Amino acid sequence: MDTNIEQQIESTLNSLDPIQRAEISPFFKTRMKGMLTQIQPEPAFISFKFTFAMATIAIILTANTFLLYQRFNQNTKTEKPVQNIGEISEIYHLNSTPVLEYDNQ
Amino acid sequence: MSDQIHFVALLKTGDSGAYNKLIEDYQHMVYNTVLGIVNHMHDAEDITQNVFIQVFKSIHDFKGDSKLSTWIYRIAITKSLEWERKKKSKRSINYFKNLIGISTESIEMSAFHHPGVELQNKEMATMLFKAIKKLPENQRLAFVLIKVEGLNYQEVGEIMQKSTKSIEGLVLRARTQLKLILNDYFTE
Repeated sequence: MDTNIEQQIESTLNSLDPIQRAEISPFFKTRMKGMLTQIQPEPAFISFKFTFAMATIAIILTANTFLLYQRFNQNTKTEKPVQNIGEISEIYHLNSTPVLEYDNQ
Repeated sequence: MSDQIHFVALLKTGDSGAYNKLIEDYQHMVYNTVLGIVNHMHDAEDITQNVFIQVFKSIHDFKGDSKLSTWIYRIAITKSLEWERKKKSKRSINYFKNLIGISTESIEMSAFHHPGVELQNKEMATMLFKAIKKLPENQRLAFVLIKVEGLNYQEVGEIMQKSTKSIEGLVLRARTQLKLILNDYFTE
């Protein structure tokens, strides 16, 4: 690295060393006071609101899923297994007996 | 420390005198920190305002594990970084708008002149701030808090929730990076 450039870099890096703190406008405090009177501090429990809402939703969903699962299980247990093909055809009205027997007339 | 406990208790009751004192005591600290990060005087004032509103709203969450100033510094940093992200996405949108010709809004960042820099150093400081913007976030925050806000390694460590050693490392890496960035500027 060129010594001249090196020196320039070093001076640039040190250019903030005697830095004064930047001060905000003198009207800031007055503006802020006016603003804070319109805002109320949030009570401590508000920060838990979101967590509380999420927990409630989770509990409701779990309870619903559990109830649906139980109901489904009950239904499958009470359903009688189909015994034979005749029964199936009866349930689904698949009887082969013709309604109008034209051929026999 | 007991003074702080008493002061925070007053703030929690919503005491207006305590709030006036809070603003009086911390306004320049917050503004200077925010300005060091965002490099824009008007925006820094708006962000400072948001910082105090946030302090006011969430004072009940302050547990007193750290100094009040440390907690306020953290809010100031968070708000500044949030602002930067918003500004960045706005700039990208403007870039695309300019590209397809539906906007002519400027997307260039103007050079930043810190009001606290000595006149003879103004030009170099502007160049340094431009280079600082290119540092990774952690290095940039540590460097700004030390160089612009004048905090020591331990204080910065408390704010950034890192050990003093890692802050020293961050600042060292920041300096090395800055040297490379500045070298590019000078050799261009």
